[in-house]
Amino acid sequence: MVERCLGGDNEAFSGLVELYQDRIYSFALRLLGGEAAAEEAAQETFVKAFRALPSYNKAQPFAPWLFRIAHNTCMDVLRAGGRNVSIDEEDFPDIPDQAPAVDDTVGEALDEARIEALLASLPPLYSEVLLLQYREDLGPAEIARVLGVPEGTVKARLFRARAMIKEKLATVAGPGPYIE
Amino acid sequence: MKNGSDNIAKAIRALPYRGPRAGFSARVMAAIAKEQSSPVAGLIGAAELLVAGWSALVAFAAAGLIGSNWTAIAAFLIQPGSFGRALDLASARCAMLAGKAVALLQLAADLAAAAPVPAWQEFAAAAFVSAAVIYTLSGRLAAQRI
Repeated sequence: MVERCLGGDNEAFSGLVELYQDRIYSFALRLLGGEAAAEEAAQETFVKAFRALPSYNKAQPFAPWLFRIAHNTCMDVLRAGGRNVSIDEEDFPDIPDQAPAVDDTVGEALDEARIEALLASLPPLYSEVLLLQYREDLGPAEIARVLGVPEGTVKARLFRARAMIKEKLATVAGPGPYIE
Repeated sequence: MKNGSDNIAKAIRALPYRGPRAGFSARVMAAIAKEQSSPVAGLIGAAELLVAGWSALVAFAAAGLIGSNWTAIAAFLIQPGSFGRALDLASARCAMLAGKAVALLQLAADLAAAAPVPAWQEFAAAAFVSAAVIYTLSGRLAAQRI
């Protein structure tokens, strides 16, 4: 289908949009929080993708390339809304260094509503690595290409993101039912 | 004991995809069609054509020059130390051109000082052409960046 798009077949691009629209829209929705903003970002992503198709390298998988555009678009929207999307000292929440029990705080299954709320409560740079890793099944190398950062940074963000979720769960739940 | 990270991964994997409102792909294709048919797109296309035409002309002229003098060029290049001499020649040529450019700028400044200021239409036309070329080039760079 991508081949046909590169050959100038607009109908094929429409098929690509339908194939990826839910994934891109969901990604944008979970980063931006609002349906209207997510739909606008998703639409902008596909328009940009269409424009940039001649620069797409066929040797690389299509999904990470598309998610890279979606990431850039969402970051632009967040910046335009005054959100800080850079990593600096202020962005790092205080996660205690001595947290031996945090891995045990997610002892029971997390339901959909709770994990959605937890993801929404994270800074976007952290929630997106979790979404790309687990929901989109991308490896650290692919995520690094999507975000335009070194692979080590991706691994560090993943670690931080998981730690933040565990910390939030521990804070909300206390040492009660979530610790086995 | 269950691993906490595994549970987080499992929960995120199980998240459903949400869908945009019905007719999303049609709206995307309409936005693309609108962009393609806008006057700016036509202007960009024309500017791209201008840049491509100029590049082709320069390449053609250079190829013609090399083609008509290739024997002399080959004879020069096979001599020992020819690359160094070619480099010296090129440097000298560049220095001469730079000197000429400075003199030309000086002459243009003198003429501008002596002559009346060009009409605003000329300024506007020059600005328009320059903006079109810059817009085209910056658009290509932006497309590469995505």
